Amino acid sequence: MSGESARHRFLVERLLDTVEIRHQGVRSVVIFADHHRFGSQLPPTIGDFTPDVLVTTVPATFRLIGEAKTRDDIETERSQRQLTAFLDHLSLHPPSSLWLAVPFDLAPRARVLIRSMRRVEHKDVNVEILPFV
Amino acid sequence: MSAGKLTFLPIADIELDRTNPRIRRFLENYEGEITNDRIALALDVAGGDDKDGTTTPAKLKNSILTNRGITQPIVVNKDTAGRLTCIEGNTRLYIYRSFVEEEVEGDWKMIPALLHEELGPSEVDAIRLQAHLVGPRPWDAYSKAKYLWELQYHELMPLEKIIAFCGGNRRDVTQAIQAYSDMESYYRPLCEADEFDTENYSGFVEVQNTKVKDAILRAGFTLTDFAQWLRDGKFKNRTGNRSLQHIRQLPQVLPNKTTRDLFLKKGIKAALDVADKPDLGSGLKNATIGQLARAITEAANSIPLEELRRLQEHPEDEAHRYIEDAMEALQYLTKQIQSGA
Repeated sequence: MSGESARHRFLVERLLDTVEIRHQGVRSVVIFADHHRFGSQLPPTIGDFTPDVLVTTVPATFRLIGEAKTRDDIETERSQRQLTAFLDHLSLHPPSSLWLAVPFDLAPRARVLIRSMRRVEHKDVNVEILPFV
Repeated sequence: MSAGKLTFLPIADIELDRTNPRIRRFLENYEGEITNDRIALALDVAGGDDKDGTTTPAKLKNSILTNRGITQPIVVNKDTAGRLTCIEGNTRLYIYRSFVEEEVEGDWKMIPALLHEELGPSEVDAIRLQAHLVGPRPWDAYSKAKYLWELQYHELMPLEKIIAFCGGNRRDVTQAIQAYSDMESYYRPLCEADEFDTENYSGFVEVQNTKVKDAILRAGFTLTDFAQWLRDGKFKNRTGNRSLQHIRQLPQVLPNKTTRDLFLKKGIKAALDVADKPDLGSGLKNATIGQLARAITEAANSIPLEELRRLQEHPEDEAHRYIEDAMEALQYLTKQIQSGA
């Protein structure tokens, strides 16, 4: 595993830990993740992109997309298109949240980037930046 | 044939049935020592996801693990020499063996079995025929979804537990519950009691695709509108039969005003005919139907394996619809030709 993918995997694991802690005990929650703990089925494709984590209640009353971004990929054009696609999708399924897991020192930059890509139709999407050391 | 005796048997004493057709078809083509791994290969124990809702070995394994055992006993024959052979349930027996080998927690050394004594070949065949050629009658997709929804909503069974009991397929389970729930919420209120058509359930499965659902919501419609389209029969093929797979084409139809209006007035087929006029070169345009049919046959028969795999892995690829449309059009043309003969 390259250093870059190891960092990404670390962030995905912390993101999943946070999801499990915060949604522990909710009977109807299902988690899809690109991680062996959650079986072989990846989250569904959203606007041509597969998120790292998708959490939903069944029947659907809430939806959350979790994405991990490292220093090397957060500013790429692909990441911007990907996060915009996730915001577009979540705005159609309220109440919804986008959680962005980033290295601790990248959190301020992530906030600026997210603010720059949010449009008025995304106003009801709750966005959280989760910094991890 | 005697009824057999329900009992627990030590798995170490039971032989896998090498005359079982599933095992035999593999062994007939195999030379060398018959190891457990090779029998596993024959039983396709490592088989992956199902495509048509059937039970795969992987699902069965997960389900047995969650249940801490099997709910349906295997069938065993004890011959005159006292040898025990599994005549039905070889995969389940193999899974128990693999759990012992892998030291999976639990008691996997004894297996529930229906024990027969000295069955003749015709009686063994009768058991196999009933088990595999007639088999238990599976529930239809709507009934399965209704049951899963009731487990979750009325029995308050945690979703993760339901998924585990169903062999770990979280996508199929959540999709079924959500489709059932949407159908009850949006479609049932539009129907008189005798109009509620469970065949429309597969339409609600199709709409669980994020691209489709998002396209409906983004175009300013709701799932009540979608339910109304189903009730009004907006998804029909050229011959007027219900064709719910066309729901997958809504993302092509709804964003454009012309095709959207056509869909709302005349249905999906009319909208797709306009949305998707093929861009044909002059060579294709001037070809006769016979030449095109031969070209399709040639292309289908020589499709590269890589391309076939790509199509299998991408059910959303437009080629699927082009192929289905071509097949439908050719069947319709054949019928027309035959009716005039």
